[in-house]
Amino acid sequence: MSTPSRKRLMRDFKRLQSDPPQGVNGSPNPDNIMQWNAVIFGPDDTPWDGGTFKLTLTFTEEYPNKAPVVKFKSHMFHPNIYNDGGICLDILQNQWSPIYDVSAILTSIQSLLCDPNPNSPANSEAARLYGENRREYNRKVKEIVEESWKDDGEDS
Amino acid sequence: MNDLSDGDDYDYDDYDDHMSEDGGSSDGDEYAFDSQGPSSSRQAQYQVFSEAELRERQQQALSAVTSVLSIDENDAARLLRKYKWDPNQANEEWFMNADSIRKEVGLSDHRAPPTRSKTAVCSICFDSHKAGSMCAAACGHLYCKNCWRSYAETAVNEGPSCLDLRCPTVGCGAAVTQGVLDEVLDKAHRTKYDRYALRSMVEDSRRLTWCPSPDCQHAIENLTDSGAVAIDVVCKCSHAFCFSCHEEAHRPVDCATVKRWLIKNSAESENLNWILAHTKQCPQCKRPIEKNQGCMHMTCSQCRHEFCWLCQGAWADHGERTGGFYACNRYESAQRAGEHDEEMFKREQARNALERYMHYYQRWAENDASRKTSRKAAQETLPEQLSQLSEWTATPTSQLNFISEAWDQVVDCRRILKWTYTYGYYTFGAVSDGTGDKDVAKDVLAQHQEFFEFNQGQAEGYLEKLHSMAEKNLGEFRETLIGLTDVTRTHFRKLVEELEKGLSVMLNDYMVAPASMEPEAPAPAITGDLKGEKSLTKPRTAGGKRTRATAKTEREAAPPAQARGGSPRAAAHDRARGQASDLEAQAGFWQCSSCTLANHDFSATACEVCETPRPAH
Repeated sequence: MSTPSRKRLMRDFKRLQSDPPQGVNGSPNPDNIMQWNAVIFGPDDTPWDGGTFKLTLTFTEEYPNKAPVVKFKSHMFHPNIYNDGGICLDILQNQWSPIYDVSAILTSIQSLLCDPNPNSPANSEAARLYGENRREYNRKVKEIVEESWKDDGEDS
Repeated sequence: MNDLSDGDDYDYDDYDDHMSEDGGSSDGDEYAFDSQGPSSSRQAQYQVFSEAELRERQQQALSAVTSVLSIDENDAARLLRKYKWDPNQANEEWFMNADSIRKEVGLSDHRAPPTRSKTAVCSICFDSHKAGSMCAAACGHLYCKNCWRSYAETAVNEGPSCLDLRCPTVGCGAAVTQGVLDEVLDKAHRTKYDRYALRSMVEDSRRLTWCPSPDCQHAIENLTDSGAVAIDVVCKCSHAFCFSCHEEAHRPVDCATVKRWLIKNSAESENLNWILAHTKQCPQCKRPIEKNQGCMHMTCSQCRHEFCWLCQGAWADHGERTGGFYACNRYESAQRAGEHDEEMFKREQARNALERYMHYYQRWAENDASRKTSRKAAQETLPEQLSQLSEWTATPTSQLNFISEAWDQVVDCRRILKWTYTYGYYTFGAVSDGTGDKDVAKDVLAQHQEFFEFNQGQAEGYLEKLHSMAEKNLGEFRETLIGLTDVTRTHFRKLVEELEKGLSVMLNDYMVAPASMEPEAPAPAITGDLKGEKSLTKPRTAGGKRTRATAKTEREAAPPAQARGGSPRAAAHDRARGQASDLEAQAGFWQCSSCTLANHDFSATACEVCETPRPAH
């Protein structure tokens, strides 16, 4: 049962293993290649440093012509991330192109962490603090980072 | 391929000329509409396109661009889409600013050099393919055909946005034109893409619109420059609608009024008026109460407040002081003193407004219902009846066309009549309840209303006559029916035109012909300015031909009558009368004002059958 999308996802996985990008990792569910789990590590020397944030990626048979649904499992505090973990990122919506693969998606999200777009806020509180009170914003982010370790403990 | 509203003959210049002109503000001169006359040009300047004709038109627009700009058809399609399928604008803008437009639309003129390597990796599926088996848009980014196919299919399935498809390479932005798509898509998707392209032409263009009737594939082009004015158009599917607002055809009423009226009909706003007219609020809890029986001593069922229905004061205040419990003198004395009871006035007003609305709405709705049944009769039962009739009377069906013409006229007139009620409702509000047009003085408005209602009544009278006659459906009524159809048509057309011009103009025109005119004369509107008479000049029927000679003599007899009048007013009057007899002469008969029989003997002074004296000329 190898459809074009599954074939492509296997290739994505192979590329992710042979050429792993810095600070991100992901793998398909052992029993369902359309469902992936991924981890993004907070970039060094930023308030996100040390955080391990978990995500899920859900693909359809239309992949790579349609973007997957990507959601954070870990609790986040970020101007472009909704409370339920949904991500407001152009390449996951109207700017999607079939040449993106899983590693491109994950690195894009990783760079979104330190480089939010306050013009399309998904979390208005985070957007406000990011603009008005960066110190408080950073403090909240650090809390989230610590929380991400706790999640780890609970899951394993 | 040309089709116009009424099926009469008209001359068209080739419309291709029109397309290469600057938007065509002078279109009116290019088209001659014999039956319409100058003042009604608004009515007929449109064209119905079938799908095949639309494709032809699309092709013409494309060649208009390709021939000038020397770009290929696929690029031209992208460019035209940007400029709403206006070849002139596309050409002009391109000349002024080719580079930035190229960039914006994604039409690069740098053709990619052919790849030298034999194989290339498709960056969608990450497989390597022979370079020859891959393809690319103008930018030269190669992808394998399978990936192209699924990329394009996904886009086509998404909807009309596939017309703006770009190269998948991030940051490239080159347009993926139909050339590439034709190479990779299957037939079903190609057809779908074609349909979107056609739809985009109609939907983007300001001058084109789809017929809103369900399952109708025709598009209408508006050949006038009138923006938001009501333009009645009739599609080939016989659906009549307004080009501007897509509602059912509604001249002489304008689009905004129609919208208001339809909203009013559907909205709950009248409920509110009813509540206001028939209930009073409890003075304490403010709930509306309808009093349907009993005495003036009210007890609110909700808050148990006791009050007097008449003065709405607390019941406790009633008694000796007010002259007894059951004779609320306070109310009467308030009235005696001339104090205006605001509440009462408001309620009265609401009741009047409601009644007024009901009056107009009922007549609007009756005519609408009648139009629908007539239309049904004309479409369903009439053809059968006609073939039967042609068998009985041994007349070819083509000779019986006048009956279906009469029916079509009935349907048409019902629609116009319906909308005149809306017109009346909104125009004469000030006379009865102070709403409506405040710019016109009340007495002038009252005069207008009387005049409008007279005209409407006349028109309605003719329509009723025609309708009942048409329903009889008998061969011997042929002339009467033809005559009535013409008279009714003329009358309604004039009514619509005059209402659109405004009542003051209309009244002035009318006042020129003084009231001394015999009330039995065919109809005041007909004797006014006879723009519509042209339609009668055509040898529509054998009857018309037969009386040509009579018409001539009648016309020759007319000048002395004109010379007789001294004042301009009298001259106009005589002219009007002369035209009336002209009209009769051309129609080939004069119509008895009592039994409507078509009398062919122009020398007779009374009707052949009922002997009613013929109106003097």
